[in-house]
Amino acid sequence: MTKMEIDYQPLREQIDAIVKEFGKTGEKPHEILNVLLSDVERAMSEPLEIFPVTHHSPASALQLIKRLRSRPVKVIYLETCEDLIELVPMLTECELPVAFQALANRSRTFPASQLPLSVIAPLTEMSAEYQAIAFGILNQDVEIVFIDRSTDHIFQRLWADHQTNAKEAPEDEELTTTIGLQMGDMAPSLEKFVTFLLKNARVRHFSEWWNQYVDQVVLGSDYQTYRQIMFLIGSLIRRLGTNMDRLKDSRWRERYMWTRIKEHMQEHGIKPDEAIFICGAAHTVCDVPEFGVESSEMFDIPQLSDTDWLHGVIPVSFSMIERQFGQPLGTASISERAWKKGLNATGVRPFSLKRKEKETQKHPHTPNTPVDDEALLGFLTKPPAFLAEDERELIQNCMEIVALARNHGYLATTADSIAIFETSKLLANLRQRNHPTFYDFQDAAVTCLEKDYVPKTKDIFKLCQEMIALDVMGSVGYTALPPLVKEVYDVLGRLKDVDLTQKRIQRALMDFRENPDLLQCSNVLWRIKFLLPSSPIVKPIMGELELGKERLQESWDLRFRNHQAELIQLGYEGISLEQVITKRMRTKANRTDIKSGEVLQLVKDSILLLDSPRFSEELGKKAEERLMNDSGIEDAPENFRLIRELVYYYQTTPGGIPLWVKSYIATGYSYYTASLPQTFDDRGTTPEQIAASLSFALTLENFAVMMGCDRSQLIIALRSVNAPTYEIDPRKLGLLMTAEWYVRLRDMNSIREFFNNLFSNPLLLEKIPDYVMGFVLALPFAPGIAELLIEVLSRVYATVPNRTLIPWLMKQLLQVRTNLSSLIDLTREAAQIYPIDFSELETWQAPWETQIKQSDHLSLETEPSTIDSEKSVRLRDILSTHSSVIQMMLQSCNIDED
Amino acid sequence: MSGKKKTKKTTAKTKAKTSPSKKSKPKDSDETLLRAPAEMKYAEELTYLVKQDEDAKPFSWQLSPRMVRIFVLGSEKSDKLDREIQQKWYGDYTIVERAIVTLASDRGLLLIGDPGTGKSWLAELLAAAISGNSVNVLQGTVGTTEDQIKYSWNIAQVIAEGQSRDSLIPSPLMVAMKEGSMGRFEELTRCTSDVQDALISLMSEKYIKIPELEIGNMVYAKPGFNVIATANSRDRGVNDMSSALKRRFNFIHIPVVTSKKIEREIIEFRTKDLMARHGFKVEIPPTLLEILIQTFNDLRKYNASQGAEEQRIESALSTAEQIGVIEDTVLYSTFFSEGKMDGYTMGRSLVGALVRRLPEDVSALSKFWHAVVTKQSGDDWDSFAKGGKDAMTRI
Repeated sequence: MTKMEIDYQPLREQIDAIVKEFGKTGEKPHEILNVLLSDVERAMSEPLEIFPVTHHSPASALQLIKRLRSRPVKVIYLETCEDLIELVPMLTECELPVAFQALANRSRTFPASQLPLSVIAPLTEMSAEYQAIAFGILNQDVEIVFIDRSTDHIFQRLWADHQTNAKEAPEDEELTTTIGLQMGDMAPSLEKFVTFLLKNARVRHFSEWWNQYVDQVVLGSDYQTYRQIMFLIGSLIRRLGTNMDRLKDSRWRERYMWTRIKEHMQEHGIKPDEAIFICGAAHTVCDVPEFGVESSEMFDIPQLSDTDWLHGVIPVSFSMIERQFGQPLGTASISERAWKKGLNATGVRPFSLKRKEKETQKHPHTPNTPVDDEALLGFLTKPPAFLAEDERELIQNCMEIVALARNHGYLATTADSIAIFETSKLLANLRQRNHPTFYDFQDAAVTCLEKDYVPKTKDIFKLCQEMIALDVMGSVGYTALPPLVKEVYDVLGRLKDVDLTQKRIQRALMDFRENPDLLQCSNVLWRIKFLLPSSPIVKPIMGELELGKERLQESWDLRFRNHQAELIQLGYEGISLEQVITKRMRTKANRTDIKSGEVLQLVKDSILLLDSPRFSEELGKKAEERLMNDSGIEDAPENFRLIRELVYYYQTTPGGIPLWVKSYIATGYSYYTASLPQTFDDRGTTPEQIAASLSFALTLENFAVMMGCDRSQLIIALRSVNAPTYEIDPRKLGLLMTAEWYVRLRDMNSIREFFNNLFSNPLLLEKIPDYVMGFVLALPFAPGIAELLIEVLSRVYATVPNRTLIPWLMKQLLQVRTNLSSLIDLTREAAQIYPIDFSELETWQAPWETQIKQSDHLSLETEPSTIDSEKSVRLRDILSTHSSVIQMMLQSCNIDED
Repeated sequence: MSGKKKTKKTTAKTKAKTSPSKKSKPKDSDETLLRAPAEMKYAEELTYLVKQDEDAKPFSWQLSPRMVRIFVLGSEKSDKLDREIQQKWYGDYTIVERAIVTLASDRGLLLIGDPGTGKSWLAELLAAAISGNSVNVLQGTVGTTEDQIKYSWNIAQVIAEGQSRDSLIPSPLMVAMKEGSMGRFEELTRCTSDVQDALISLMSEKYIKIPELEIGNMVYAKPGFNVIATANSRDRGVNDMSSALKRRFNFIHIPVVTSKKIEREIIEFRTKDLMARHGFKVEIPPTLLEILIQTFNDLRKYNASQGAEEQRIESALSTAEQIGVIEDTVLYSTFFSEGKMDGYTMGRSLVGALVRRLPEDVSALSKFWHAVVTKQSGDDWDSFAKGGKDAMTRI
């Protein structure tokens, strides 16, 4: 390149003259002005052409296109992490915006608590870096070189900072959030500077300031003016608006970049005038010794850490970029509008990978525009001029917002459009701008349309934001996808009428009887649902995945186009969905704090999703291991529910119940029976938990016995409950009594006796519902108790006064509702006992009334007695043989039969 | 924030004069006034700004929009003025900017907000800056009639001389039209809807017809005429504006100040101003100011958390109330406790200022006092809490 010879001496003299007039030479302002000037001078005179840019700036991108079209280069050096270069070829099939991502799940250098490490660098069409990359892809003879520090170095430095900070302030911050990178990030970091800048420019955000005072101005300027202005602003922000930490980091990176450039040039014999260096304007004016191709200083680049980095392209959206970089909503859309406007106004054609075929013809040479001295002077002295497009855009906005407001219940007409237009102009004038910015327009719209209340949910301010912030979502092409995602797309390709590249929601309808092949699609969808439970990417509308249930038909809502990124993230974890699921399940099952029930749930999921009995067995064994390490019976309900489900499922399979399930049951049986004695008088244990552990022991007993357990374990456990009955929670007592009755440690009469006592004691009446509840809880494992329950309930309704009864009824209803299955057992039992017909009612007598009368006989004949010792057997013999004599004796003593 | 009583008085005065159009501008005189309108009070600043102003001015405005902004919000270094212009209204600067451009446009300005948020004060400042006259004020009440919005007749003169322009009493808005200046309409929504609608033709056609007269029966508005109205958002629904009238106004909502920093600035600014009327200077101890602002903030939260109306404190907890409390405290301590301002007096003043309904307000305040104020630690807080308690027991 023929270097621009610009003489800055007159300007320097002018500065001196001004300083002389308004202050003293050598003072701070003088110094700063001179430093700014020398920064610009130095950057302009560097033999390697430096192209200053700022992130997502349409002006930078347009200027770069003009520059690249006018004179070709051999090499483009870009300020982007060098390890991301491998992703460049993947861009060809992508729809922007997308982001380069580097991710590390495993590292020997960083502690596991800090993983995963993730970096994303978004690319939009209106960014200079994308235009440079596209140019490189389209022209085979141009080489793109990324020269910034690698993502690994970013984390090395962050981790080092983190450790030093942690020593000073032991706050446990983590690195794990994703770091966003922007090429040419220019936002000033010194708060005072920003506040001053914004206040004086009467703008709200830095991006607005940039857009208004720099971007729009340099958009149409000639190349050398553009460079000088950017160098100047870069220098200003670097010198005055950047805090020390940021500056330190910038310097480190600049040393790195210049070293890499010089290394590359030496290695490939590149001359300075054959290359261009594209970097953020703030870096172009750096003061490191490595700066410039003529400097022989080289930086000693640190080694990479021992970390496994994965790289990929992921789709992003404008709103995601704005969130990541803390920009106000709509910034990206405003830039995009400016970009399109700029393209229209200047007639420049962007480099586009979609139009690859046409572009491969040699790029046309447009003559270099002559330097316009007036333009530079104009920038410093006049407010920016505006294009006719701006005016059209403003009118368009006014019309759109009025229409939008009308749809949202506002009373808005064309008169309001006119008023908004007028007010925007007046506001811009008041804020000393030639043309209203979007924010001026927003203020004007609020002023003119907002009345005393908001008619629907959205006010004008929000509507304006919505109007401007059209969110654009990128997508990644098939070839750039990781194998896992490719496989998903391949399998789902079988679905008819579903196009995964469409932005609209796709409805997948599957009938497995008609087309059993579709089961594979269903499997894939369920797996994605499992891995991304909260994502809307797949949403089952009809159909369920349950053990033992055959799938017949399913329908799903698919949103692959807009949520592709989440799927791609899974691609970093493994090469297939099954592998990722296995890996996640194994990691989860190996956690030290996991509960047995959670592992059982994993077993269930693995059966449903993976079809790998060996893996399910591995998990099952883990569940048993966890059960042995459990303490307390808090998880009994969950464990019981899951293991019963698994037992039912395995009973229907040809292989029958696997050994591990039986072994689990045996362990559970021993564990729960052993825990029983302590639980009855432990206030921390709920009756439901005891009910579940008793159910576990009693309903699954046959499997446990198969594995060598014995009922005596249970009997011993129940016998060792030695707390007195009044100390046991009423609901637990019901459970205890039922269990005792079940294993024949207690007879029905003693329970009746117990209730008789309750009924006779007015102080205990209140408690009866609780006792009853205990028996209800026992129904699942001892359905036989239902008869007694009906009896007790009938007596309650018959005898207890309404005043006490009615509050109970409510309570009881609510309690019974939580145990619906018990309710059914109870109703069934009641239907058998009570008369079905009115005619029977007359003669009907409650069975227990007759039973009570004969209870002595019955109990002696059928019920086992409480004490099963030899002595009692003898006593029973005597009583039964001499029963008539004993009855007579009792009658003579005037003692009633019952 | 500006005294409503004052504006009422001015209205009455304007109406009583036979030809107020000539005299509606307050005369600069040596007479001391209890409260001078903004254009008199800041006459010096206004004259200076007029002299400096080189920008284009809309209609017959005496200042360009940029200078109006500087007058209201104070000057910055970047404004390149060789003297400082004091900030007079505190809050979001975009509110002021939007208000100014509205007045330069075809629509009227309606400032809407809770009582005590500074609507009337902003209206007065704007009118003073734009037309050098802020006293063409009409106070809306339930009893306001259409005559008061347009014009009425001096009955005695009509009987003696017949109907003529001489016997006509123009309303402040009519005066503003003739002058091409800003007319103010305070509490617009207190008027009944049909009376409000008298404004519609006045604002769109910009003339008033006097059908009673045969000659000279039209009063046309001169360029520069516009209306600044204020409305109370608490009264919304009492007399809703018709949508036709709404269309002729740009509504600007003035929020209650919640930023402690701005609130402190407002209180200091206004208190100094009020105290200057009494002719003495007071420095409010920063700790007391802190206590006051904190208490009001807590009270707002407390009020918001109460479900039932009777458990809330009825009074609007705006900055104006805080200024009232400070003023009361200063006056009390100056005249009755040898100029020493303390927490005890302020606690009493606060209770006195906020209790409006008996006994609901006292019980609500007492509940708040025990839950929040007494829990604070510090000498000033203690005496403040004690003062409040004493006041409550005495009510």
